[in-house]
Amino acid sequence: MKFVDEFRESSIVRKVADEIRACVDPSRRYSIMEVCGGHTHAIFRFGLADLLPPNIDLIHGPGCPVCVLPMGRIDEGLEIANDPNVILAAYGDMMRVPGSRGSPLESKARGADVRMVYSPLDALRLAESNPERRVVFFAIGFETTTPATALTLLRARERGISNFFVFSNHILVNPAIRALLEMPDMRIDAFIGPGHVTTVIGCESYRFIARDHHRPLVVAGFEPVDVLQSILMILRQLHEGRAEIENQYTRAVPWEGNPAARGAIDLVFEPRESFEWRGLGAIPASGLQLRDEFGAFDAERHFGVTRRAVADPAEARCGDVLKGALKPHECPLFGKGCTPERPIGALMVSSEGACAAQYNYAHLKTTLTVGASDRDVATPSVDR
Amino acid sequence: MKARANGAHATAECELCRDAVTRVVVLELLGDDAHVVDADGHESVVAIDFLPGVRVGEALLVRLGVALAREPAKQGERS
Repeated sequence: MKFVDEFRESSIVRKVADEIRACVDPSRRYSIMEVCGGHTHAIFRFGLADLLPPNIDLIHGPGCPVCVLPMGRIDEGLEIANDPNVILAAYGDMMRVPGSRGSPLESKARGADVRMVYSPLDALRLAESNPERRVVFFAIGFETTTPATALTLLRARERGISNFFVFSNHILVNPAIRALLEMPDMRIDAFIGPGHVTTVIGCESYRFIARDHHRPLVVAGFEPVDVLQSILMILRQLHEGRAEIENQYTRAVPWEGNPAARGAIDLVFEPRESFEWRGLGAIPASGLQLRDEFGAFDAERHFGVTRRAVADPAEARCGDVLKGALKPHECPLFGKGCTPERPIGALMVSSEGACAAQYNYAHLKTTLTVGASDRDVATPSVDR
Repeated sequence: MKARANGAHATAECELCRDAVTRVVVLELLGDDAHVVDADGHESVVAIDFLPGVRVGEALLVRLGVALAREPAKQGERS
């Protein structure tokens, strides 16, 4: 397939990896954070870290919206679903995500009317076809996902639909990057920027990273050659003393992003004063809520949702992993109490979370290479 | 038409977290929507409100039923 196959071509992958090895300064370490869960997944799936020199550390950032959603928010959504007149519509990826009292799927098994949808527009259609019920869409995701919710709300208003509501858990990439950069023990030299988020927010939105924090960011695609090329571009910037925003993923990302999508987001949503991220804590202006003009669609206002704070176990070191202070397998719970089947920490929740990705792909690698048992792979050897 | 059934989307990978988009080609324009086909031959209807001037035959990147970008896009440039 055009635009994919050539970016997985092994000869090109080897060539770029060779260029990286030739480029690195062996006397220094490089800490590069990939912000997006898609990049984390690609790095583990394709074994890209194994192709890099040992002095390049890839730090897996907070770009997995399911992982960073506090359990209390899931509890709040499920509290709404307990109303017998409510249909709770959620993405399939949300169905198994646990709150403190179970997941949406478990709530459905207990009798709540919880339905999977592919798009918020499907949830709106549910509302139109069930006028006697109230349909609540469990909205979650970064700026790639938010335009679909915004468009759905614009269409709901245009059609005068009064039984459709949105429970907004939309979050923003840049406040999280800013919060990471301002942490006192932060050790990130550069960022691999999120490819598809940037189709919406545009490359210029990252300017503060270069200007205020003197870190390079390279927007990257999700194939092996994309990720390696972006690392090479970062290394060249670091060696030349540059801190710039560059776009490796030009086949999909226009520099300016999508102004129409951003306009719809701005019309419908506004930043919350603060939003809680699992593993990182409260980050100012990092979450989105519905504007007053769309208050009639706001599930939090309509159902009078009570805030539920659910603390993560102190032993889960998600925050340290997100900051690059720990590798996933260095967390004391990794693969022991905390597994993808029974996640305790945020980063084990989704397959794109740093811990789940490392667990799943290190498991595969270890099983294939040494025939280890499940017990053996609970603490896999993943060092390069 | 091999339609993508609503809600039959769950996979071992998390589309939300992978920040995934689907590349589709426009078959027909339907006002604010377009009838499209993806590389696997799945046909569906997607919203094109955010991409002015979409034409039949164009390749689009779609996220959750909404087109967000054209492919190939205009070339990005260094800051």
